[in-house]
Amino acid sequence: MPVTRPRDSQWMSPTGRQGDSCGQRGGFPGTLAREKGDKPIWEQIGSSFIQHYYQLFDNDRTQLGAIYIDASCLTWEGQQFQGKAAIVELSSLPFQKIQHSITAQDYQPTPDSCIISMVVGQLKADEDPIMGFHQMFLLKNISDAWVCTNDMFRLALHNFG
Amino acid sequence: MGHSDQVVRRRARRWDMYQMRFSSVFQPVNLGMHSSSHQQQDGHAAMQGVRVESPLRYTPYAISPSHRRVSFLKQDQTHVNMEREQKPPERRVEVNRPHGTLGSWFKITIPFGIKYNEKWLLNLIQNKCSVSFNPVEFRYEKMNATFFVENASVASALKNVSGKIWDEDNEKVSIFVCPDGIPHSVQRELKSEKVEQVKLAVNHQQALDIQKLPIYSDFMTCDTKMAPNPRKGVAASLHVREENTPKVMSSGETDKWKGTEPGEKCVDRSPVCTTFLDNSSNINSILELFPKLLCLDAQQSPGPTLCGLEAHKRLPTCKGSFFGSEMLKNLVLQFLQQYYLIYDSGDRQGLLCAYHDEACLSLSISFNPGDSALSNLFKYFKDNRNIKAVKDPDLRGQLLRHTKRDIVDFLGALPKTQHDLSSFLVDMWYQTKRMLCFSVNGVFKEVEGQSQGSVLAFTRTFIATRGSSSSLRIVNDELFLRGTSHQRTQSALFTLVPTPFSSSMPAFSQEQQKMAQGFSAQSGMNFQWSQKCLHNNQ
Repeated sequence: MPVTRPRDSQWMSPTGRQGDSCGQRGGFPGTLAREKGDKPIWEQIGSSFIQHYYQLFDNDRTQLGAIYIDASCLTWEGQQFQGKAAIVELSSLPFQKIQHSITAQDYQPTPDSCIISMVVGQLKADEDPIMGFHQMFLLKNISDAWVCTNDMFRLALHNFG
Repeated sequence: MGHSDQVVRRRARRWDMYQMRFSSVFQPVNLGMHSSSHQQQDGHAAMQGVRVESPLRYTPYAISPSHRRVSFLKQDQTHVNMEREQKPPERRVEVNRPHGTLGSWFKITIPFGIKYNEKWLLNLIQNKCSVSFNPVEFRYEKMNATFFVENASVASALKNVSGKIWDEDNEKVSIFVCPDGIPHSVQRELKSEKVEQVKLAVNHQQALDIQKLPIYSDFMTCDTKMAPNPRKGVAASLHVREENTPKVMSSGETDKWKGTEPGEKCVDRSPVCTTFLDNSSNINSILELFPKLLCLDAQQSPGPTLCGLEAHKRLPTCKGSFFGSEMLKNLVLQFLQQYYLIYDSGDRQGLLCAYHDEACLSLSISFNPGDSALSNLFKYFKDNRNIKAVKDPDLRGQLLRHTKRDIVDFLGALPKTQHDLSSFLVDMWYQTKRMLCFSVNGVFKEVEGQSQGSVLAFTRTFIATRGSSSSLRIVNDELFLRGTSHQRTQSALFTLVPTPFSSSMPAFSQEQQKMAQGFSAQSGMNFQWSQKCLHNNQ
């Protein structure tokens, strides 16, 4: 079941009161129009997703499969994994604990009503030294829920924090 | 141009031929087009079994009608009748010179010039150019238009035209000049023993005109294998099986590495074919980007606590750049090469043609308070859209640049840079017929201002639409900047001057090994990764 509501309840239903899904306001440029002081819907979704993803990853990796669908594709350090099952298998990594700390994140709406979220941060697995990483998610609204259709992960080589 | 029926029909025919020429990009043909002389043949061969796309789709960002080209396939006899427009006489110029003499040749490249009709383009340039020039061997190479001229002052005059001419979409046309190109027809005239003389002459010419002409990066392949640090966790668990190790194209110099210790072969670099006087005297194939491939070797002796775990749960191998297919790889690499050529040229207005009208761009910076490189990022702070730093929705709205003019103006105000394309790691993570998404990681150096010489790392994600001409237009551009972590790597030589006649890179010297070891000890990185970082910044 794809995740639609994170614990902090800031998740906006794509057809909820506060705004449509990205594409329904008249195409790509339309999504950028907003009232002063409003946080655009795609920013809210992107932000919520990121928060939820790393919370899951750090605390209960087994639940990660919920945010992907069978058509999802993960590119992990240059290698591709297709489908929920493959991605979940990757998630069963040989370390006990892991912590992510995000140092930068940003979002943009895409022309086909998706949201691209980019994250740069640091991670620490067990007692290993801290490593930099960056990750990119492409979020899509499918059947009234936002799922991750593409995920790209890379360790950062040039900056180890 | 008139709008008579005749003209319209001619245009339609040209468009069909043009389509046929490039419909091969939609077919899984062998597109290992490394030399321009083979390019046309491949395209022609590919056309045989290719179904032409029809009917023509409306593509608002495709080539505008006035710029559609005639087919330039010389072997394409069936279309000879349609080429009544005639190739301009210049294209069939045989170089009439005494046998054995050379003159100084320069290759002129117009990035993204594939959109323009040859005659139109040459007229446009000539109208602005202070001297008249004789273009030799005009051709389209992938996304560019190229030709040769035979005079340093002509080349210089052409260089001055760059950025001062506009196409019909009001986008700047850039012109790049390279001193090392020699047309095929000239090459053929020279005997082999003259080749060495030519090399020297070109090199000398290059040295003389170096201030006037742009420097092209020398892009090297890298066959890099690194062993992980034998520790638990993410790094330790990454390993590669030998048969999965990507093989890197080299120019046949791998035999130099025979006899080295297995451990010493961790970092070896074989240069791309760098002689400019072979059959592929094509600056673009030479400059073709081969991102570094990164692999982690199998761990020799895993720690006892890991044995059981590793048997069941192996992390996937770490590979280098990822592309969906050879064709897409060529497309993306070439696009990046063009993009950064203009980006580093000093006039980023030339990037207008790389962006969609409604494109978006944002910039984010990440840093840690203790970063020694923090001061290098100060100038980017005002444009930083990192949500960790900027929460006000109105400000965030302003910082999201929208429309290509806004974007290119913004980019133009950023410091002048020099990107190290050999450091690029590219991931193509999503593609459809209409869209391509890819991310690039690498380093660049600032080449002016207070932080001149500082090296920054970046990750940049592009989402681009694909036109029917295999052109890409960026619709989303997200740029993340961060400092590079170690002073020593920053201060190491950051050489991007082309060395067309150099041999392969030497193995690390003793001193460099010591540097890498010291770096490794301080940063906690394993030794091989330290070597890589060191090498990246050389």
